Formats: sequence, C-alpha cells, structure tokens
Amino acid sequence: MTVLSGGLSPSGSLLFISEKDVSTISLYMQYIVNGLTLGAIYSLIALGYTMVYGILKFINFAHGDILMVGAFIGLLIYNALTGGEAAAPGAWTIIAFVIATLVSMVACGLLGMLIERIAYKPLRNANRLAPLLSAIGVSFILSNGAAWIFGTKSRRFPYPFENEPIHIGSITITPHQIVIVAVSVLMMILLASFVSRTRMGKAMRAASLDQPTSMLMGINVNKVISLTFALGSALAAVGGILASFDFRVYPSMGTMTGLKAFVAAVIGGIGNIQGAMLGGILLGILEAVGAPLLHIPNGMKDTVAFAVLIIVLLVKPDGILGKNEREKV
Amino acid sequence: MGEILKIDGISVSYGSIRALSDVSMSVEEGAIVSLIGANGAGKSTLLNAIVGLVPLKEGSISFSGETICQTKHHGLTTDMIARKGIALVPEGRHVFSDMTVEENLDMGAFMVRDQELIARRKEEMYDFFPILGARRKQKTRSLSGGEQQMMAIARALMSGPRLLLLDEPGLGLAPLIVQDIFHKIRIINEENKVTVFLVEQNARLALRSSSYGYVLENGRIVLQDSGEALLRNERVQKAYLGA
Repeated sequence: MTVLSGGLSPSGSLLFISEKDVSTISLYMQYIVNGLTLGAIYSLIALGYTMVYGILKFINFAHGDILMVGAFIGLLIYNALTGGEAAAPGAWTIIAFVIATLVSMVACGLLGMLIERIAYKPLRNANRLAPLLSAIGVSFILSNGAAWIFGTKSRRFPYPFENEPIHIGSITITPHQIVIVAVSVLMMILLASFVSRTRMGKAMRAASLDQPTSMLMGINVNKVISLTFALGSALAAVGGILASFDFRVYPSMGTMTGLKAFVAAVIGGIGNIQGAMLGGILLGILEAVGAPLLHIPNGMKDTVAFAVLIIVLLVKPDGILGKNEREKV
Repeated sequence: MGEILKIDGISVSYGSIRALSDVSMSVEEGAIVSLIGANGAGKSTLLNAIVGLVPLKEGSISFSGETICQTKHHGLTTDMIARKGIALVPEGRHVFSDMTVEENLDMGAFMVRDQELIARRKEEMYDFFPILGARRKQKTRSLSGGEQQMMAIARALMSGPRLLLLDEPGLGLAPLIVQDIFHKIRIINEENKVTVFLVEQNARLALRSSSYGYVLENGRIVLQDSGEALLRNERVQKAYLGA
C-alpha cells in the first residue's frame, strides 16, 4: 500500500492533492485501462491452458502458437474479403471482421482437436514428460511452419472500424480497446454458461473433477477431451486476432503472449476457469501499472509478469483460486 | 429370470501382483447378491473389472448374454458398459465435490436424453433421500459421509440401471446410517426391480440382505451359498462375523 500511495502522490501527502498529483492519478487510471485490455487477451488465452490442464493435467505448450495461427487465418480472410489496408472502415469491414473471426475460431478449433489426436492422445498413458515434449515439438512445427509459409516479417492487422480515441476526463480510450474488452467478456460469459448449463459443459467439469467416475456416468472422455481442445483453441484464435491490433501478426507472436497467458492461468489457479479469467485481468493490470510504478524500462517490462508469478506461488502455491483440498473419507 | 451377470474365470494383475485368480460367479436377475471378504481380498478390483476400469488378464464377463469384458482390450470401454445399464457406486463415494447435489444427479442422468424423465427421476430421488432434496443447491463437498453415500447411490440410479454395483456402501459410516442405507438398497431392489451386486466388509448386514453370497479370499472365491447358509457357516462365522 505504501508503494501505491507513494506512486499516487509523489509529494508524500494525500491531503493536499496538487495538480501534479491529479495528473499522476489520471496517468495511472490510463495504465489500468490499458492493463485491462491486455489482461482481457491474457484471460482468453489462459482459459485454453487451464481447461486442458483441468482434464489431462498437462500443459499444452503449443497453445500459444494456436493464437498465432488464429491471427494469420483471421488476417488472411479479412484481407481477402475487404482488400486489406485500402478498405475504408465501414459496415462491410466490420462484417468481414466478424466473419474472419468466426472462420478462424472454427479452423483453430479443428486444428486443436487434430493436434490432440495426433500428438497427445497416443501418449496419454506414457510417461508424463512425453506429451510435454510432444507439445513443445508441435509448438516449433506451428511457428516454423508459419515462418515458412508467410515469411518472418510482421504484418499489420488493419482496423476494421474507426479508431478515433475517445476522451473521458483525462483518460483516453480507443474503440479497439473497447472491442477487445467487449469481445473477451462476451466469450467468457458464453464459456461460463456453456460449462454451467449445458450437458456437455457439465460433463467437461465432471471429467476434470474425477475422470474414472465421469466414465461411470457414461461420459465418453475422449469426446470431452476433443471438445476441450476445440473450445480452448477457438478462444485462442479470438485472443490472437484481438492481440494483433496492438502487436501485429508474425510467426513467433504466440511465444511471449502464450507464456504470459500460461503465467496468468497459474496465478489464478491452474485448472480453474474463473481463476484463468481473474489471473489474466490481474496480470494485465499489474504489468501495465507495475512497470511505470517501479520505473522498469520498457524492454524489461516482461519481468513484471514473472515476478508476480513468483510472489503468488510463494504465498499461495495453488494460485489465487486454486484449491488443494482433501477428499472426505 | 436368468442370470444377468456372468463372470467366467477372470484373472487380474497389477504388474507382478495378482489381484484376482480364476474368479467365476454369476448374479441372478432381480436378486441381491453380495461378495464378502477382508481388506485387500480383491473385492474392489472385481467391481472395477466388471465396469472395465481394470483390464482382464484371463477370462471374460458378460452382461445379459453379451460379452462386455475380454482380455487384451477387446472389451468395451467404461462409458459403453455404463450405457448397457450397469451403474457402479464406487468405494469412497467419489461424488463430484465441486458440483451441487442437483448437478451430480444431472451427471448421473448423462445418458438419458428425455428431459421430463430426468426431472421426474430427480423428484423421485429427492423423495427417496429427503436430505438430498433439502440440499439440492449445495456443493456436495459440504455433505457428511452418509449424505455423500446417498448422493452417490442416487446419482447411480438416475441412469435407470438394470444392475447396480455397490462398493462398500457402509464404509466409515455410523451403524444407524449403514442400517438406513441397506434398508434403502432393499427397497431399490424390490420396488425398482434393480438387480444389486454389493461388496461389503460388514458381512452380517450384507448377507442378511442377500439371497446369495460369495466369499473372496486372496483373490479367489473360496465359498458360495445362499445368504442364510453363509451366515450359519462356521468358517464364515469365525472369519467374518466375529463369532
């Protein structure tokens, strides 16, 4: 708390807020808004890590590269429909963006299922290290395959809508930030209601709570696992497309974003869906606020995420919402 | 009424440790049959073999005349066996602890597509186990051991099984609650016409409820007879009834 108030009020007093303090406060409000946007993307991607871990107790290290594939597919379809940079934002570019996103979600969903079938399923009863190494292999295949097909140069994802910043008080919000947060929240609401209301959604939860018992209920765990990969990968596709507004599209774009989303999933409590959402938002905000607060140079910004991870793990080894409960006998 | 379950010379091993050796037995349709034996005799292994959770080394298991378990992965998977109409209440209950009572029942009815039937069965379960009705919106981890046992039985009944397998339904519960659970098992058998095969350490209670019983020692069937006859059997009395 002392660090925060020191940051809010460099003059050391909270009673007499100078003009300089006001500008500092609004500066940090701006950082929080930016962090929320970043965090929404982390959350979307973290969900894929956490859902797969929940059922298979395995970290799918190729998940970050799925978001890159999703961004490329989205970009290619969007450019094919609109003609790319030249297109002026309007109703058609927005429709094209929605179509591109949906197609990319379906394609990545299928890719995720295919990867599971080929690279992970045959190793399900093998040593726990084997699927992990297989996942790293898949990750390299995806990123190098993309570099081979598309080249290593980064591409811009044109804005499908007017991106004139909106000023609320001294805070600036861009429409694309609103889109990122709105789309992410929509996806999370859809996923949460799928998991709590539908038959297959509940089966997913049951399989992650107790796999043998879920089989006794007649649940086909192979189907549930395929579905989990499909959903996680589709969410990663959305995350990849939203991330490419800020970060551009290139073959290794999934590496750092994927790693941080994984960190977010662990911070929230890996295996826990609400935990992934919370962890992502928290990490985004801490990263956006923490770096300027602690005067960390831009190039070192990524250290914040991992420092937060270490602190959380020291205090709560199972993550914020992770539980390490014992069963009643 | 013919035999609904037939186990034919099965053996099961965990690595080099043999858990079941040449076990053969059968369960008559409509009956309550029990299997008694000490800790580690292989009782749970037998039930897990029937539902396909552990692979057979030798022998086969058939359910209403159809082979469900065979050696070398030729048998059905656990979810397919469940679809045939066999429900197992596992040892230690294994309720979905992070789900509510109602969601657990929904999971039990996973194979049922008729929403009205699911709703009707749920109401039947809440009538039959009033404590579950009172706690339908509670997470099952907050239930007591006896309540969790009832939860697990109700969940198994939601699929409308023909054969109910119960693994130590009385384990770790107070005597009065065990009595109540066995009373309910008899009602399920008589009124719902569900065949029951149960495994139990509490031999007296199990044999009293059963028309037929088997005794398992070190992975082998050493005795079999009607429930009454086994209760009078000297060997059973010495080893399992504390006489």
